[in-house]
Formats: sequence, structure tokens, C-alpha cells
Amino acid sequence: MQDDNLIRRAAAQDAAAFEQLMLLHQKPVYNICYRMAGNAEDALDLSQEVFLKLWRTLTQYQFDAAFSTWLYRLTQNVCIDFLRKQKRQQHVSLTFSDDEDEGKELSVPDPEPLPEERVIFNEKQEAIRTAMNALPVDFREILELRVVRQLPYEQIAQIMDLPVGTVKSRLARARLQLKKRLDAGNFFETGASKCTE
Amino acid sequence: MNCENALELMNRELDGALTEAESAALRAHLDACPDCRETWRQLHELDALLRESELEPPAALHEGVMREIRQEQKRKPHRAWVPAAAIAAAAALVLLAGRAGLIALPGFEQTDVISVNIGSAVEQIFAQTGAKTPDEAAAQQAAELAAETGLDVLLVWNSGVPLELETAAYETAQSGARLYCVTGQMAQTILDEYGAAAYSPDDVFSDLPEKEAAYVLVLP
Repeated sequence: MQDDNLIRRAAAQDAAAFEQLMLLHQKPVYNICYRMAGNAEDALDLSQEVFLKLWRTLTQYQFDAAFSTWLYRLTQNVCIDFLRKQKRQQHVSLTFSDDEDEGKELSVPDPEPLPEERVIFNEKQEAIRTAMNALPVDFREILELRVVRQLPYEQIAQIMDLPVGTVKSRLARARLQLKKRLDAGNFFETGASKCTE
Repeated sequence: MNCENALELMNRELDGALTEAESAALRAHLDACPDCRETWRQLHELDALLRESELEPPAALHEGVMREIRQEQKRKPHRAWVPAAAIAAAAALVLLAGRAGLIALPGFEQTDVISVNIGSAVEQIFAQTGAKTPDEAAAQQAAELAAETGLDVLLVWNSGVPLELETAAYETAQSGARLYCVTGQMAQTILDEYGAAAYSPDDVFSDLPEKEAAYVLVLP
């Protein structure tokens, strides 16, 4: 309800209302961008692009879906456009997981940490970050939307334009791939289970 | 239950999507299967670590976006978003003049006509926004139309016919201006995209997209 009022005022080009709306939503948008781009510098650029697009297109929001669904879909599209351009410019492989076959290639290369990123990460967090960056982009996105943002399957289905059944199966495969990559680096104290193969 | 079934249930359990019966069946399998128990522990740990890895957005995000928006607003002086209160005052002036018999407004059945310079009030509004004023007669026509019909009226000038209206039906006023009746949402889109002044019969401008109808007056 509070959002609706802010959205209407922001759509009428009320910059103060837009600022409040942005403060409410910038954390999830930034984190989705971070997951999809894989590094802080691109996540910042992409999040800025998302909010500037939001400012210019907010009148198109019809209140027929949850605002977060609309915003995260916009975020996803901005990130995918960026990754496609990056692929063209840098000849980097951008793949999505294939529902018939596990994703085989990396979506974007694991970037060198920027100076501001050279924070002493907890060892496990750093391992998670590296393993996440090695997953296909849609696996990273679905883990962010479900595990971190805790969105319901139905909302994720709307954002990613997938059937709910595919959301569930892709999420399960994303978790297993992440676990498999971490297993390879002796992340867990005990070895991988044969049940997960 | 085999290990493959158990794995599927583990995923749904992590999402809080299991029924009580499914949850009990999973527990029973985990009690009996050390491999699955270990898998469950690892998946659980991964979810927890992922949740803890959430980042705070840098201050540069918010600052950069708002700086750009404010600069963008300054760069668009041609776009006259006339303050709602001032418009209400202009529209009220039209109504007042109509009731006092000073000018002829459709619907007010007045016959003794003299002109009232609504345009000068509007000019002051435009002076405040820094935008170039439209033709005075057109401004007056737009204000009168808003007062008469109770609908918001957008006045578009120096922009040609907006793309969104190229195939829409219109009436032609004596001045040669085209008058379109559009949805509030369309009016908002045009206001966002083109140099336009908005005239409202009330002071509720921000609700334009919610209005069923609005007029757009396009000067030749």
C-alpha cells in the first residue's frame, strides 16, 4: 500500500518519492545484479541502469502484478542485455542451463577482484562466490531469487517467464551444481555423497 | 523412498514446500540413509551461506541515480509540468469568470461576453517553471476545456503530432488545433515524452494515469 502511493507519485516524476521507492528496493536489485554480473563494479553500473530505466518507464507499470515482480523482471532483462553485449565484445561464452542437459559452460568469467572487493572474505563465503560465478546465469539468478530473496515459486516463474515445474527442477539442479563445484574444492568436511550424482 | 526421491523432497523442504506427510517420509529416509543425511546437511549449509552472503548496496548507487535524475530534470526546461495548485487556481479563475458572466463558456449559458486574460495567469506559471509558454489563446482554450469538461487537458506544442496519436481520431478546432480524447495512461505517456502543459479541473495531477479519459490539444 505504501509502495502504491510512492509508485504513483514517482510515476508522475516526483523525484523525492522515487528516491524513497529506490531506497526500499535497491538492496534486492543490487544483489540480483551482483549475482548475475559476478562482480561489484558491473553490479553497481547495472543497478544504476535499472533504476534510471525505472524512473523513465514507471508509468508503464499497471499494478496488475506485484511491483517487485515487475522490478526484478526489469533487473533481469538489463543484466541479460549486458551479458549478451559482453559476450559479443569480449567473445566470452554466455550460456544458460539447458533443461534437457546440464549447463556446460561458464556464463561469465570469474573476474579478478577489484581493489574495493579485496576485502578479507570469510573463506567459505569466498568459495561460495567463486562457485556461484562458475554456474550458468539462470542458475545464479534462481538461487538468488529463491534462496536469498525467498520469493515463492510462482513469483519466480513470472519473473523468469518459466512454468512453475521448471522453476522447481531448475532450482534443484542449481543447488546440486553448486554443491558439486564446492565438493570439488573440498568445501565440505566430508566427501560428496553418491546420492547426489 | 529411494535416494532420488529423497533428494527432490530435500529441495522442497529447503523451500518450506513439503506437506507434513512428505516431511515425515523424508525424516524417515534420512534416519536410515547416512549418505542422504550428509547431502541434506550440505544443502542446508549452502542455503544458509548463500543467505548470509547478501551484500549492502554501495552509497554510490543511490547517489549516482539521484544525481542523474536531478540533472535530467534540469535538462528538460521545455517540458512544462505546471504545478497542480497553480493550475487549480487558473481553472478556478475560468470558473469564477464563467459564473460571473464575464466570458462565455459552453455550459454556463452566458451571453454578455468580454475576454479574460487567462493566458497571463498561465504565463506566470510557466515563468516559474522556466518553460517557454505556448500561445496564449491556446493556453486559454486548454484551461477552458478543462473547466468545462472536468477532464485533464494536455496542451502540446512545438512537437508535431505525438507518434502515439498519429492514427487516433481527432476533432479540429477553429484555430486548427487537433483535439484528441485519450486514456489517462496515454495522456501520462505523452506528458512524459513531449513538451506539454497540463491543465486540470482539480489539483490531483499525479493520478493522471488512473483517469479514464483526458484531452490532448495539439497545436498545429
